[in-house]
Amino acid sequence: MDVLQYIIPVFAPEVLWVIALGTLGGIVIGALPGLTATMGVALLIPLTFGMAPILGLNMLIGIYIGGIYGGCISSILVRTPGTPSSAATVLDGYPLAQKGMAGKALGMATIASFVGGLIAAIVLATLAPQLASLALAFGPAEYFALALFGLAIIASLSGDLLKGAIAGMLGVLLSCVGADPISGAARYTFGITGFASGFSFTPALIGLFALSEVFVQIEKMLNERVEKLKISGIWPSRKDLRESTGAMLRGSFIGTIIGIVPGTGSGTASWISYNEARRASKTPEKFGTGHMPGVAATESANNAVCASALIPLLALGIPGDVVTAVLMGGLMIQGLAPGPMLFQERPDIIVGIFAGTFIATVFMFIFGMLGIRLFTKILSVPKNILTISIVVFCFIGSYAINLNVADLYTMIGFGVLGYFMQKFGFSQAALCIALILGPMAESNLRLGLMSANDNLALFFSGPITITFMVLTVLSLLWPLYQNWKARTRERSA
Amino acid sequence: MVKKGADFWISIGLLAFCAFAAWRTSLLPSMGTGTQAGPTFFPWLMIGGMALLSAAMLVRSLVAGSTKGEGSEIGARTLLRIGAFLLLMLAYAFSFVYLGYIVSTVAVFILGMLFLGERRVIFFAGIPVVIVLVIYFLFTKFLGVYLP
Repeated sequence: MDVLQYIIPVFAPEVLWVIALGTLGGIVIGALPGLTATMGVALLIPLTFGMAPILGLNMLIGIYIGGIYGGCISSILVRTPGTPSSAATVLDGYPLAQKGMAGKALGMATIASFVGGLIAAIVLATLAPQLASLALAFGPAEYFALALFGLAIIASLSGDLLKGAIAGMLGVLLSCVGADPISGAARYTFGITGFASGFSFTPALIGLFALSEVFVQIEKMLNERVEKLKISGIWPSRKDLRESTGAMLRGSFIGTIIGIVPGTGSGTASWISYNEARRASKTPEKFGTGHMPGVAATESANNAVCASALIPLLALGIPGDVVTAVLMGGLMIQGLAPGPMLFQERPDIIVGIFAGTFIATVFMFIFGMLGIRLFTKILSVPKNILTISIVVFCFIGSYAINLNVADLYTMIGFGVLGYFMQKFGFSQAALCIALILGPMAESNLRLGLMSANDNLALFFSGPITITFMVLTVLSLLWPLYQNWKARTRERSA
Repeated sequence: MVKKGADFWISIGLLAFCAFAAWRTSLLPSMGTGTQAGPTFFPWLMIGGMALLSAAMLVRSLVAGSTKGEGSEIGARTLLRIGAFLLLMLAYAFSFVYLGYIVSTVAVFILGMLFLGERRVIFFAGIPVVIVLVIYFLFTKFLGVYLP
């Protein structure tokens, strides 16, 4: 009965309107090459500042879900992934478009995204409360071990373990700027009062993911002409659907599981799902030539991540992927701290987010199927005007939250840092997640040491702590093992 | 992909940053918090870790040889372009509060469009003012956010 009482407000016209607007905006952002879902959420967090939490958060979730889906539009039509999570969709989506089946490929991508999103939303609503109840028993040692695991996995998944770990440590060090969480002592503020409480999180995110992308676009700024493809018939045939069901369901589950692992994301999920679909197929040779199951596999997986990445964020306060790390900024400006206590204190928000995820997924499907022809026109927006508009949003967004000029310089600084990190192969996601997990790791490590009279053994006792510590070691050793295996194979070849 | 040439200089830069951070950390006052782990404990852990990893990256770049990196090396022209745009951003941040949102943003919009190669006069006539005003009304009237 209680749950129903929290669900009903989500169906209020203003909430539905905001979710629809967010989802539509997300699709537009995702469809534009160079604008990612992460950037969209980071840029539009300030828009939610004056809204009620249920409105603001659901709008951001709409942008997230719409943004991840929207990436497939340019992947299929112009062979340029709108978002990194749709990179694998290019493999079969573009060849299908070349065969004159762009509409059907987009239709299949929409259906697969809907199925993936829906399955993951069910898992979110079922699993997150259980995980949160478990997390209520967590003490400083468990939280420290969990934060360490999150940091280790994001470093290990960033492609280059060394650079991933450096990016993570830099993020943690940057999170130390401002007042010490235990004693309140000022650290690295250089006497600037604007930094007394550390770098503002949202301006840092806007810089890291939006302004840095502006720099990348400036570098690439070419007069790209978009070849317009004709769209005809958006519903895939029964045969296509029958052929793709396995890939779609498999992709949905892969995406759901990968989304739950802290630090991973929709890009990883879609590649794994694609490879698994090809491996399981009776006709693997058709993959890459314009095969519907290829599109279904990638799109179901990347949209499944959207809902499942919310599970660790809401239940444990650990972002499941980089977009949910940015979403955390949205929760924070509403004065909400994600984690098990949120389930106890604000069940209305939790249930509202669950319901909002379902609604946004449904809106994504409706807009996707109805607006495919319209969305293709978005690709014609002049890039220079778009780029400067993003800059303006970066500035307003960074300033509006605290009305603090220092936040503008924070945003520019993180923008430059993000650009160079991207250029030289350092993971921005690792830095971003470390900015969140740093304070959590530090305060829990020190609180744990205080309670155990500086006895480090506390962090190697208890089943949950030991499990996370073992997972941490394994996640760091895994890329080293993979490297060693690749080298051995190379030598023997 | 390992970019050896760039990695060498990046690791040198990171080691210099670690030295700077270590110096600043040594200046922080130690406070009694009932544990050995005071306000500088965690920063020291991170600085130590980063220094070790940066040294490992330096060794890796030396062992792998100093061949030219591939793919995303930043050329002088690009660096100049990025630098000029960065200056524009800094000037925007400076003028945002002093000149106010509308004046500074219209100016940056026009300069930015010019910088990004827009030459169609018709675009300059209306687009910057319209976009800047739409954003202004969206934030100030609709969302109640103060803009200078």
